[in-house]
Parts: sequence; C-alpha cells; structure tokens
Amino acid sequence: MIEHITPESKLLDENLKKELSGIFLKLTEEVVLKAVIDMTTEKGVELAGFLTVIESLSPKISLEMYMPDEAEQAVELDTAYLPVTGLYKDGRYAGIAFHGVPGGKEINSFVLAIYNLAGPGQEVSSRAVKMLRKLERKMNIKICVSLACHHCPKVVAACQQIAVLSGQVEAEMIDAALYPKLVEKYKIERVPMIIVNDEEVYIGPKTIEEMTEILVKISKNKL
Amino acid sequence: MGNMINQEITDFKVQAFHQDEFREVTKADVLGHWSVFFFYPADFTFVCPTELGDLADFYGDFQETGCEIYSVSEDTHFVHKAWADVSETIRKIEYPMLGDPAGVLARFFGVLVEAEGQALRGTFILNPKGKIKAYEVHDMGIGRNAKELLRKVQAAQFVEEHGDEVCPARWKPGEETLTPSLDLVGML
Repeated sequence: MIEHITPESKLLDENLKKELSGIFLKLTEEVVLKAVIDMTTEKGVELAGFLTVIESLSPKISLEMYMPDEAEQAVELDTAYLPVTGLYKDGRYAGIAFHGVPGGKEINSFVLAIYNLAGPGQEVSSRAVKMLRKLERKMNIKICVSLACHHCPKVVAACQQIAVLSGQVEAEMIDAALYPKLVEKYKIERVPMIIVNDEEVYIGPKTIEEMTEILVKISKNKL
Repeated sequence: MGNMINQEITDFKVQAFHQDEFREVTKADVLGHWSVFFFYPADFTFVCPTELGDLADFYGDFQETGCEIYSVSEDTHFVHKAWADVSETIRKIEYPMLGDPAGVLARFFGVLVEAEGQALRGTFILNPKGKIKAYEVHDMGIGRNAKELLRKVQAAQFVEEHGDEVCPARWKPGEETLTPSLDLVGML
C-alpha cells in the first residue's frame, strides 16, 4: 500500500480546494477511491499527490493506493492503463474509473462522479432511468479524452452516471495522451471518442439519453 | 457577394468533357455525394494545368472519400477536348471538366468576372444535398493546393457525420497535466 503521501498537488490551489470542499459538503454517503499507481512514474506521483489532497477535503472521501504488484487489492480495475483510480461505495466497485490524472477539464467529470455516486446526484430523465434498468448484461464504456477538451467531461459524466444508475455498466475515462498504443489501436484523432465493449466506436458528445439508447441497442443486438 | 455557406446549388444543365466523351451534367448529378466545384479562368493558360494536374494526382483520394470533382471554366466542352488533345497534363484528368460558356455556374457561385468572361479561382465544397459547406475564392494568379482541399473535404464530412462538438487531439507524449478548471455552474 502506498502511504504517507504529503497532501500537496500543484494542480489544486487554495481557491480550488475551497471550491471543492464546498461541493463535497453536499455528499451524503461515503465514497472510497482506490488507485493502482506505479510510483516510479511522474504521472503516478502526480496522481498520488492529487488524490491525497482530494481525500483531505472531505470526511466522506477515503483513499487507498496500491502499487501495481498489489493490484489484487483493487482487482476490479483495469490495470492495462496505469495509473487508474476507481470509485467504490459500500464495499462495491461503482463501475467508475479514471485512467491518468483527472486534471484539466476532467476535474469536472471527477467531481461529478463523486457527487453522482455519494451525493444527491444530477437529475436524470425518468425515461433514461427506466431504459437503463432494462440493461441485463455487463457493458464497458471507455471514453478517450484529452484534458484540454471542453466537450469531453460532459460525456464522461453522462457515462459514469449511467454506471451508477444501471449497476451493469463500467465507464472509464482515459486520458489518451498517456497511452500511445491505445491512440494507435483506435486511430484516435478527435475526442471525445467513446468505445463500447472494446468494439463499437462513437465520436463526439452524447447526452445520457443518447448514450442509454446506444447501450440498449447494442445490448439487444448481442442477446 | 454575400456569405454562401449552406446555400443550395442552383438548377443547371451544362456539357462536360469527361474521359474522352461529351456528356450532360445537371444538378441531379451532383446530389447524393460530396462534390467540389473547381473554377479556373480559362483553358490553355499556365497556372491552370498545374492546378488541374495537382487535382488529377489526388483524384483517387477524393473518390475514396466519396467526393466527385468538377472543374469549371467559361470555355465550351469542345475547348476542353481541344486542350486535352494537346496537353499531357490535361489528358491525365479523369474527373469531369464542365463547360460553362453561359456563365450559369460562375454567376451562381459569384466568381464570374463579367468583363472578361472568365471565372476567378473559386473552390466550393458541396455536401450530398448540394449545399455549400466550405469555399475559397482566389484572384486569377493565385494557385490552390489539392492536398489541402482534400483535408477540407474530409473535415467537412467528419463534421457532417459527428457534429462539431469534438476537439482535435494533438498528442504530445509527456505533455504536462493541465491545470484543472472547475466549471460546474448549474450542474449540481
């Protein structure tokens, strides 16, 4: 386990910390962040500092960080793309993961994921909720983003809220800049790129309703 | 000339010189696929064969993206043939060369220089519904670049398919993480 990290991050200044603390006051339940981090890499060290600060901002948020050789402690997480952070509630993986450091515009999806999982959550149309309940098989969504993309956090948040509501879907944000092999494999030139079950690819933002329709359609086709 | 983006091409009927034959081309022919209308001042001039030859070299790439090229000048289709007969560069052209002696197309696209009866070097990209999605107009002597035109066609096709709310990804390995910018007004 990675411990004794000083809660300092150049990504989070005092103003931002205050803002985040304010938002986290709305949390009603406890959320656990579990991360698998290679501390020999620059991104790993950056993420460890970032998460440690986030944990310090709310008594509702706790943090566990593991080295790659301890990854069985967070066996649910996809460790192909490190570092990775997963969100857990009541001892269960919530199907929400972030690969890379959720900085830049992705701080928004990161905060929304915590808020949607452990707080009141954003409003969702009852139609989408009904449709999501009908999903009967496990599905995976990878949302490839660039941290400078202002369209990206919306689709990340939508997919991760789907994960919370459905219980069947895993939604992973991936900062594609860190994973050249992924960029090559899917020929990623524009973001957000949404990859469902590692095969169906969509480009451009989708609302929660649009994304739900896509999932239901794929789910029906595969049954 | 006002802004021409999203204007739909006018009804027209012209004669074309195409792969050693004469044939009629109308508005109906340009619907259902992407098109480029590529105006140039006149046959038998020097910048023109260079540009048209450049375009001929990339014609296969345009076809692969589902885009037809129509070169247009205010000459007749007979003059296009005569030019092809004497110029190796023009002979290798496989796209239709439209003759617009009545100026119907050049006038619609706003590139006709009436006094000279010639067209400015205008390039217009039309979507399958015949609507102009991108264009550029150069004065007579300023040449164009087929590779850049191909990029524009592909960009226009991308936006048509996926919408414009996407960001180009410029991957620079090792790029520093961006400073977070929180913007959740009205979302919580």
